[in-house]
Amino acid sequence: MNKMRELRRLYENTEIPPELSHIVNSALHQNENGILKNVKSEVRSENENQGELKMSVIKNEANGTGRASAGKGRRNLYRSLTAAAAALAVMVGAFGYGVSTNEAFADSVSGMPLLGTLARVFIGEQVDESDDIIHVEMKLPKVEGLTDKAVEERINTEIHDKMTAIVEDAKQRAAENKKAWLETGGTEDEYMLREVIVDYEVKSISNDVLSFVVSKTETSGSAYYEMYYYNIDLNTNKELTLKDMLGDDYIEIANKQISDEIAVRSKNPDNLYFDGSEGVEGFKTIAADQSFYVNDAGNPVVVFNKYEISPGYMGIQEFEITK
Amino acid sequence: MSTMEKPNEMIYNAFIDCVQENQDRFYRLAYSYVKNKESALDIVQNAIYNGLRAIHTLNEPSYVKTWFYRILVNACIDELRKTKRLVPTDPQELPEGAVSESVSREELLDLQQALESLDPESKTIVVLRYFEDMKLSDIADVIGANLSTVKTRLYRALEKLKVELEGDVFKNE
Repeated sequence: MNKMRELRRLYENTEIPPELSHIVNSALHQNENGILKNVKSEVRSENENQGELKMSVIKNEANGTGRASAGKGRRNLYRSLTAAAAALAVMVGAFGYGVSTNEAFADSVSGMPLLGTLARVFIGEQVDESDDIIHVEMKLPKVEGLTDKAVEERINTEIHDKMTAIVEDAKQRAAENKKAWLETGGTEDEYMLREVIVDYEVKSISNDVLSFVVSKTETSGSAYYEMYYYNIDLNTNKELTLKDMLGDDYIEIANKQISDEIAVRSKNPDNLYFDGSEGVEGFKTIAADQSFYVNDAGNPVVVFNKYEISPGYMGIQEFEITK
Repeated sequence: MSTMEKPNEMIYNAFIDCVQENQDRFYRLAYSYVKNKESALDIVQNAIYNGLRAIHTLNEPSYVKTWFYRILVNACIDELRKTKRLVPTDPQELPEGAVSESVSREELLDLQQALESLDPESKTIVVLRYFEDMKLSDIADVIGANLSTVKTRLYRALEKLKVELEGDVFKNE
């Protein structure tokens, strides 16, 4: 079962996005009132402290807006319990904690930014279409919550226009390709459906920076990627440059760290980077419009597409640059 | 506490605790199907909504976890069916340090691809058994099949994965 153990380790290494706990908590919270309203108020106390809980339940029933007071306290209590004694919490439930714990905890979390108060990215447009030539799946992000609405509008329009044009172009090329295929004796049955997937990923989101990428993957046999990165300074509403992030010497700083990292990675015989030895020039310097995103640590991560600095099997290459 | 009351306060507590405690696990499971952060987050979020909506049908707190897995797995399989997306696994997706001396990178990639190519139900059984350490009887509850069906499917899946059985598959049963 050695291989299975390795596979399990991979599985367990799945990166947990930082926004997960926000999303989970707000999902649990949004439904809280509705659920509580269905709970009958004559829940029997099994010990003294449960009276506290009973009261909050009744309160919730009495005024539909109990969320702000009792509901919130309850939820926070769960959270404090979960953190303090996770194993205990399941069966014992929330009983046995005093009000003061509740309030202290409520105070400590009330200042936390909740989902929706920040700039965010969500699915703005979804297209799913298929014919006998091409299969298109497009999921476009929409940015919301920037303080400058004009910038927000510009970015959203740009993403829509650019990606729609790219998909149209792919459709046209696929149609020509199929025509040529059939004209040169290929059969309908053997034609490999071309697939175009447009998707996005939020790389990081903080109070200062929103970083996400819109990608197009076109597959017909092998996969080709195109990535468009958006790094927005949420304070100035400008798109960040590497110079903004690393200072005037950004080219030297990035080049040195990338070269060093390539040297480190090349020690593993599985990794191969172009080095000029077979007539293919390797990494020399970052480009003027070098692709990058901002990671959770707030550092820029320089990205090279498949084939750019290494053979295709190495895929997309990323290098975190520290200041 | 009367057992007639639904949703039962104790079950509701158990649900909240279960989701908060296991959120990382739930996310990982969803991610293993859709291989996409946004979709995995969506699935977890919707599964919580659906769970809360249906929680009154549950009458035993100790079933909460298995029950939620069932909702989650159904949501994942639904999503897969909807998108029918083949997820290409490129070598760079293997995190650094993921490969040990005893198993080569190629072997691991082959195995991973074999796992991805299983039908969703069989993949679910393998993932729950080997990655989530779930008992086969619980897996049967999660996917809504009987125990012998689960065993047969697991054997068949492992055959496809060409993983050698070491006799520990059915321990703790």
